[in-house]
Amino acid sequence: MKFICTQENLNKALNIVGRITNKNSTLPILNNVLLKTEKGQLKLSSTNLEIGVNYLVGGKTEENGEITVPTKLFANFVSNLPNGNVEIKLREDVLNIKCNGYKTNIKGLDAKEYPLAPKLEADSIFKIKSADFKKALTQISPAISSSESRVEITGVFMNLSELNKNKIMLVATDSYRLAEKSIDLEKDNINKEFKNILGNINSVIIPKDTVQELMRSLDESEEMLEITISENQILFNFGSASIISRLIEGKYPNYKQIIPDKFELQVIINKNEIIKGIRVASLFSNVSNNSIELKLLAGSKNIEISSETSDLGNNNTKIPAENINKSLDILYNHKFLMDGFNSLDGDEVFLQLNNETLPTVLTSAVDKGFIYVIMPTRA
Amino acid sequence: MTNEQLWQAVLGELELSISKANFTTWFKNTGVASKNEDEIIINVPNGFTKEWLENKYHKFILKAIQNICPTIKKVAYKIGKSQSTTTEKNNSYLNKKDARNYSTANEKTYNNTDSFLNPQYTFGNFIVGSNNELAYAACLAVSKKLGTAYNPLFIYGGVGLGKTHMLQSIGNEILRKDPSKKVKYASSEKFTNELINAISGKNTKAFKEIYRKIDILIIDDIQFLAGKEKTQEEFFHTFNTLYENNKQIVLSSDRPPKAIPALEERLRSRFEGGMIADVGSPDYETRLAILKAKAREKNFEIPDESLNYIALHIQKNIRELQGALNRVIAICELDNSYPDIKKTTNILANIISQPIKKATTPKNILKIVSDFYDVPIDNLIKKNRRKEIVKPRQIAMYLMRTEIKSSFPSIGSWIGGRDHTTAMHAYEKISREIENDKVIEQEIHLIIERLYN
Repeated sequence: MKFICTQENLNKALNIVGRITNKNSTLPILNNVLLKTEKGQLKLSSTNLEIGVNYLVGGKTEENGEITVPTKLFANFVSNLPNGNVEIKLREDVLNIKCNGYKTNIKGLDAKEYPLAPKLEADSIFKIKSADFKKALTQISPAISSSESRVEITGVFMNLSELNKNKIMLVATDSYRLAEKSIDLEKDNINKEFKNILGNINSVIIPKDTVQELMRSLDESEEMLEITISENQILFNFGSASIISRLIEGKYPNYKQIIPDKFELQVIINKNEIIKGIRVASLFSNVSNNSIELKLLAGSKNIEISSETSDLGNNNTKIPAENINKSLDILYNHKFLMDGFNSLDGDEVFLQLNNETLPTVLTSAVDKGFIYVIMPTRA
Repeated sequence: MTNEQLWQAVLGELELSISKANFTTWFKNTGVASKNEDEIIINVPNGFTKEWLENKYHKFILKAIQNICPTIKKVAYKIGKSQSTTTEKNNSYLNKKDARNYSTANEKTYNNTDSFLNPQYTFGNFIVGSNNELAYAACLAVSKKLGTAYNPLFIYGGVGLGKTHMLQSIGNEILRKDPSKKVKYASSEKFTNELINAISGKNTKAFKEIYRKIDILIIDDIQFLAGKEKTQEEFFHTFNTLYENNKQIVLSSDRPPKAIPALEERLRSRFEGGMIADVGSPDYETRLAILKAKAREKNFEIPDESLNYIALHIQKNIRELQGALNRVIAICELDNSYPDIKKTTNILANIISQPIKKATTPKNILKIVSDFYDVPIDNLIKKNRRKEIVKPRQIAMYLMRTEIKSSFPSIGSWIGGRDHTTAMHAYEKISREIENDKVIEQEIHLIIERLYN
């Protein structure tokens, strides 16, 4: 194998491919990255047997070949190289790399031992702008659960049952809060045959690790992301990269019915003001359940955020707010509340509540597709 | 030969020709999905395994299968999902039961069974030694004569000595004999939470009915009811109702009822009205027996010498004992070695050689003592001769002397600038009381445990 490309391209590829964490310690080769020349380009692949990432680097192929080298070592080395052309050459099982004055030999392992990435033969279901999908994931991902005891909520739920209305729904929850984003797709970007391809699949659950890998790898660009789905795997194709991942088996909770459809209170607040207020209040939040209190007084033009810890002291912040027509004191976990406001778009946001035990819903004026539901904490 | 036996035989053969790492990676969670005359379909857990088996091991697998079943000509692989989950997904995408589960998710209880028992805990796998024979016998008697033998049964002892195992065994044994019996097992935290939820949901009546219609109530770690007055009151009523109807009640705690602070007198006297049994630290022989049973349960071959070493060096706590054995098993399985005495010593070196006592500070002692007796630190330091404050204060001084070896004058200065003779008096007084009073001894033991955990 002999291949020449720029350091920038190779480094970018390794940044995407090299982040997959290996949970499977029994197979040491999983700590390696696979390099393979393919159609005049260099293909980098890595996997942890749950998710597989491929990335094609453009350059000049002078001799075909394949090898695996330790990912961390290779990535660290390449990131330290100066800008310029990098030449990689394979001699038996040693990869030698040349770049300006740098010359290195890295010992590799046979590519034949590397796990083969599964193929997904089906046609893609729909396309979406990378930037849009990345933003949606960024908005809802804080709510993904990490709890091992309920695997079905440790991922993002993608509801496809409204594809015929050109709509998909992304949902994440950890049972204390829930984020839902509905995305409108352009009709031309949906495969007309989607019903036949999907069969009886009307939703999938994408594992948290895969979501994080996607958020890292996707550019905020107009580039299209193509999604292919089968019963237990999902494939994302974008630009030079492709990510294939397993799906989580199980049934996602029927979250719809915990979202109230009527609200007694719809308070309008400025997002940045309340985020500042929460940040200050969080310093004095209750140690045992991280709660802070929002105090609403009917007719008042302010929301009061307060917190108190007997050892440290207390804090009280007033934030201008409109439309308070009922008095209510309500407690929240400050982190969950903060995550919610941070995910909202625009300055003007709505805090919609009923009472101190029912879920509260946060929405914004500009982004109608996104809602964030949070359970109040109990005193 | 069943499909499962066939696959076991095939795996046995494959294991010989493939390295261990590859074998465990690629053949974990595989099985036979279906089989007929000349074709067999193998279930694999994911796409990677499917690709690998199809492309790399196909020949080996086919050959191994043909050795056992010569008629098979074709082997196919499919990503396996058990049949039941697929159908469930299709039929009940939206159903009410799920919604109920969701709403209780906040309470962190995902268990569906009503009793909340863990079926792993049975009398069958409980090891009896001199430290726990009384408690064991009492539990056994209770499970045989529900409500009449000893009611209530109160079991106490330190952490990791098998209280929960015994309690759950009672429940499991009763259910095994008569599945129609209503067994309720709850930690006192869960009991409290359920009560709080019932109060906030204005649903206390339902709560009362659930708890008063059962045949046996088992509450673990009852000491956590201390200081929760409303819960104590509710528990008191539940207790009385069950007791009057001759329903069995079993409780556990880390200390005897007398030593639980802030427990109402009427509850305390009721706890003491039945049978009280304690569980102590296991002796050497018991520890060894436990290790042997655990090793057998896990099907792990380990020489007596190594078990002996573990039993000798880990003395206090059964949970730690089990942890040490698990560590040996895990490491030996990982590098495929035999756990002889040398290997075992190596593996456990950093667990055992750890200094048993971390350093503590006078401040820490004050804090733990004040938490334990529920008196503010300020009151311990201020001038105050009320009895409920004097005792904790003296115990704090005693602990500073015994645990940190502080000088008497410095102890005095920590406790609000008192004279060194005060500290000396406190030390002597508590030392004397420990010899005569079991309760104080137990309390100090518990405080010390908390100091270092």
